[in-house]
Amino acid sequence: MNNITISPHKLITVILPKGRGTGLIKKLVTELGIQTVNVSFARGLGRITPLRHRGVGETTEKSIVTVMIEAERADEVFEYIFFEAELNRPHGGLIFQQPLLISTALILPELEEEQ
Amino acid sequence: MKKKHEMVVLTDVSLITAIVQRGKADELVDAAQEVGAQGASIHYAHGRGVRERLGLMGLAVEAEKEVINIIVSTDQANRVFERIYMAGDFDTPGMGFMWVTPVEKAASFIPQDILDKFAHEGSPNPFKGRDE
Repeated sequence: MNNITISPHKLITVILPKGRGTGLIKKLVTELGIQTVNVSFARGLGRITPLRHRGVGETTEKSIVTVMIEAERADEVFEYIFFEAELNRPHGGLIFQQPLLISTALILPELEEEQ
Repeated sequence: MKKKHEMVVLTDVSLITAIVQRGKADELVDAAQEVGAQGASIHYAHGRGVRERLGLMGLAVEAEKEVINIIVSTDQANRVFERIYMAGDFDTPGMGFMWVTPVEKAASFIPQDILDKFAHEGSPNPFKGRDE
């Protein structure tokens, strides 16, 4: 039970256009030092999905980034992602934050980053 | 001159997640959009549980699943949830299951005309500014 944290954590989820997820997680790891980051893939659609207007199709490929973060850093990281991932532009994607009840600690030993 | 960036933070938002048999998701997302959902993301998964207890050798229930995530305003959540439930025949065993989780806040690009509409209606200022 040593790895279960009792300090509050948040889960931030970011839905991005395909290919933008890996660049974002690299920045989160190298610039903010966050290790609890994951990227997965999905298809998605919205009322203003660009392809819909062109009649090509309704869904587009998405990268979904999830970040588990300490509650006290959550607002800072949320804002960082919003601007770094250019979510403030049309068709940039969506970000949302949820509370977590229980989470596991991920404390890495001091290791050099592999190139 | 400093360039000002703004982030519009949405609160009172909920996340609806539904796990359905593969091939059902698009129909359910259409149903959700008919009652106000703006969009959805869909990814694939593999499930087990009720499948092994239903049908001949579990063939009646597709093992491959689609997971639908839909962000809606909290006051829309019940309506969208019920619509998906009905459209997906969730009262039939093996068709899938769904839940709603709270979202503390969300943000995305909001077109200026919608922001202007908020301002004209005298709503509280939803802006959070950041100078760069």
